[in-house]
Amino acid sequence: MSRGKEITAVTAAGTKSKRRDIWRRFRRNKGAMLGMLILIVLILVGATVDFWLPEDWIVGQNLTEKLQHPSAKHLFGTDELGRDLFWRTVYGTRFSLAIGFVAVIISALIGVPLGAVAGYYGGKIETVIMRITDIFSAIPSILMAIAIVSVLGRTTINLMLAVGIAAVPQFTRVTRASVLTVKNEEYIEAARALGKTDPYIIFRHILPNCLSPIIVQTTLRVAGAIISASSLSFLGIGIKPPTPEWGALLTAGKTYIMGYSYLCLFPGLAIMITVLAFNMVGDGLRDALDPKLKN
Amino acid sequence: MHRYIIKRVLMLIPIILGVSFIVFFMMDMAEGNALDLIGLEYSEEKLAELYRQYGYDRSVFYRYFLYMKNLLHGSLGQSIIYKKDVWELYMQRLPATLKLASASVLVAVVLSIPLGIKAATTHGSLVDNTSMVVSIVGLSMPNYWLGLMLAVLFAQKLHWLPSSGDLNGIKSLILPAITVGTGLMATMTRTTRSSMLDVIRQDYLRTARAKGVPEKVVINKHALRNALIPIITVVGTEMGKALGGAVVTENVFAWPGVGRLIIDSVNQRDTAVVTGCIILTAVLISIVQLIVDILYAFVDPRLRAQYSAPRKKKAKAAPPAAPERRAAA
Amino acid sequence: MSEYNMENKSPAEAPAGTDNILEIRDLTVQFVTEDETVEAVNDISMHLKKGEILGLVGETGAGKTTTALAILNLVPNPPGVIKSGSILVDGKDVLKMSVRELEQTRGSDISMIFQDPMTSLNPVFTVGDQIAESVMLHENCTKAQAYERAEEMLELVGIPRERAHEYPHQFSGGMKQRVVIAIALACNPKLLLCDEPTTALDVTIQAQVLDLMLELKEKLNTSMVFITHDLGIIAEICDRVAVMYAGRIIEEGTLEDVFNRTKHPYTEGLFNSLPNIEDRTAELKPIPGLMPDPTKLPKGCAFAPRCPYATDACIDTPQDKYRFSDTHFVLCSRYKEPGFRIQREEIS
Repeated sequence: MSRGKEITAVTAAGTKSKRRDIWRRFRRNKGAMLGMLILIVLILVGATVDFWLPEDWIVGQNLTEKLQHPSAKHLFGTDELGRDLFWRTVYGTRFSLAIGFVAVIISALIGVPLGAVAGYYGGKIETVIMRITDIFSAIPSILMAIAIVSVLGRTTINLMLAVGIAAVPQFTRVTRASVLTVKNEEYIEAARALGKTDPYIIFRHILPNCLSPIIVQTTLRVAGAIISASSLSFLGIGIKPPTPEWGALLTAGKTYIMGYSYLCLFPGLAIMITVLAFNMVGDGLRDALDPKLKN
Repeated sequence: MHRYIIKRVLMLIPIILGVSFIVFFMMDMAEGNALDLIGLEYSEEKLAELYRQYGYDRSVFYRYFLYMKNLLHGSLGQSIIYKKDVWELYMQRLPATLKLASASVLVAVVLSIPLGIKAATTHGSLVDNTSMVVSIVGLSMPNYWLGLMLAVLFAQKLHWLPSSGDLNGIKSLILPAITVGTGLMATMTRTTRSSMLDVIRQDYLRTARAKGVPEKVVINKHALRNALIPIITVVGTEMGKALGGAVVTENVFAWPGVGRLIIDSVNQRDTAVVTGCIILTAVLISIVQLIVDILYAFVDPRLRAQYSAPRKKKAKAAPPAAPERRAAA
Repeated sequence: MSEYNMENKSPAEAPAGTDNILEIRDLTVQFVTEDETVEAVNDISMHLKKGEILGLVGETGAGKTTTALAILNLVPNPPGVIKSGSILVDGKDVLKMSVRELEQTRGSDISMIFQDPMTSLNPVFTVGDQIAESVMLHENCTKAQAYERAEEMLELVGIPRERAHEYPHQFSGGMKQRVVIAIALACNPKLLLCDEPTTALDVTIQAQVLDLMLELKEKLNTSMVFITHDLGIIAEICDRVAVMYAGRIIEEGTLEDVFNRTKHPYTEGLFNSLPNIEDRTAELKPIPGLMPDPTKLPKGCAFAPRCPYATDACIDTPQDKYRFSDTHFVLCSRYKEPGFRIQREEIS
């Protein structure tokens, strides 16, 4: 085997048994396992809901049943147009999850390479990248997202872009910090001595070893993205009613909050539980991936 | 020390430039134009004149150039919609935002630090686990939802507290402050706890106990002082978040702060207001961070040396570097 | 060759009398966790006369620090448990004191100097503050008086009093250790516990610190328990020596007894492992093997696996204590056999 392949093989072999350890540690964390369970349910629902939920249940108006409090027939009650809130909330899962995932993928696709380059090359490149990141961070992320949506227009995709771009600085920072710790390890020097090009080193050797904080950050950022997206919808800048995105449901329910507070209670609970699940899984991952950090 | 402060203030300049550049261009690229919104108020000629005045007849770079020219003369421009100086508008709204941010941070600090300490000293106990769960729940709640629910409960059902506006002094501050504060609490409790857990293992606490120092004093004086640095960092960050992000809560409680001004202005494409307010908010947050960094020096004597050391000697002491603020996120 | 005095192990050994500042009887300390129990200190008894310096020798993990912490009742409570025993300091049982009494005793009657000066001082308080705090806790005086005493203590340990306003990070390792000593002595303790106070320091500073300790003994008649693994230091300042292995005292006697009339195979091994300055080319003779796992101590002699004189009986049966004189005893069952002796020469 060539030396290069040997190096990679050793790294990979170490990773496999590490993976089992990580999973074992994760399993021990009851909160994280619960969160994972909730996530699996939510993802299944969100991904498939289009296929089995009759459209009528989501958008069908039935004015005779309007504004009914929660009951056996309508678990979460009905809104001002008689639509069942429970099914609308269930349908809304798909928006929040989709926005959350896509936004974070966008953040990571931009932020991780930036951070990796900044960390690896150092010097002027690092300074420039980090200064720009600082500037973007000086703008509170909600405002950033609002500004981006204003520029691009109010569609779901733009919402994903807005929330995603607003979270880029976090990824850049975490990646850079991670790369800095891995950069000076010996196998990197070995790879360089073998003549590997920089991009190869970065992607093949450095990043795989910094994955832990990035993974944790990703999970936690999905939580953040879901909250940001719903906040924007709540403010009237994201997804508009009557689309049953949770934030939009909240803003629609706000008008009737006096007396019909359930209209806001349940969508909000949905957001909270989803975000909680992501946070618990993210925490569990953090503890499992680096037990030294755990207290 | 003074040199350090001046250095930090100077670093604001590229931030102001960068922020203004980004925001200005984004606002300008957005569809629509503030002048159009109020266009009906003016005669055609007046409107055309205003267009020229604000540079809408030329390119966006020209407009930016006008803006920067103004900025260099110390002016943030005028709001097209409100027809007032941006500075004036901001100053009008700032006190409300400051009040809310300070009160929220105060609520969070008062609740989370003792809780974090207790969680750390009784590591593994019910208090510890409960407080961690409560923290993560608080972190996961969309805080405008919390605000709505609290408003329903306390204002509507129980009629104990007002739910909008800033008219009743402390009373109207309570709900918004708790709403924002809860979100801040989560991070603060966790940081306090983990920082204390680190400190609790330290040898110098054993020395203190061997001297006969009572346990309470060991924790609250000897340990806490050392745990403060990450805690102060987090308080600073959270204060920044409260200043910049209480936007949504201001909406829920109809709080007359800067956040609402910005959102309304974004919707109305009032470029100067948006740019100006965001710049000022960024400057404000930077000032808060500078204060935090100065506070470090008071708390940790090792850092004092680092700040006032003349350049050459900087490498002498090996104290912990002023912590990577963002990594704590 | 002196007559062997064979006695079976008897309970409280210490010569009775108000002459003793410290009496430890049948002390057993364990660390209990979910997975295992560490037997750190196993049924030891020892005493210290007023004005005496007792050296406590042993490898890392022998239980020396735990013993010292037990004297202050500072063994960290989960997971440390004091299973049995009593520790009398000037007649009062430390293990039975209330929290308040303990707080009063620590720092004023009994003081401890810890091993690593780099981490023993609180980085955010001045050196003067840390010394003065001890004074204020135990004596009825004003802040100014306490600070004055702090400055005096600094001078006593050889640090200029102006430096009382400085912070620990501004001092070198050796000076930090001297500050720690100043703190320990601030209230003139009757008993001073020193846990390897010179291990982290270089040799010249070591010499200064040891001189200081001797001065203290002469000037203030401070009694000391001096923990170290360095036999050279023991030779310099100790009056009596106790050798610990796996939580037990396996040999105890005066300095002469232990150095010149060594009886226990382990102690012999310690002396043998010292490099011989006269014969630079000779091979080093370390004791083969490692100290046993403190969670799995054997029923018999813990040293047996490494002992060149061990028999099958040694491995299975618990050891008995044998006295050679009023001051000298050893924990080794082989001395049951008449005529048993180790290789190390006796020097009268």
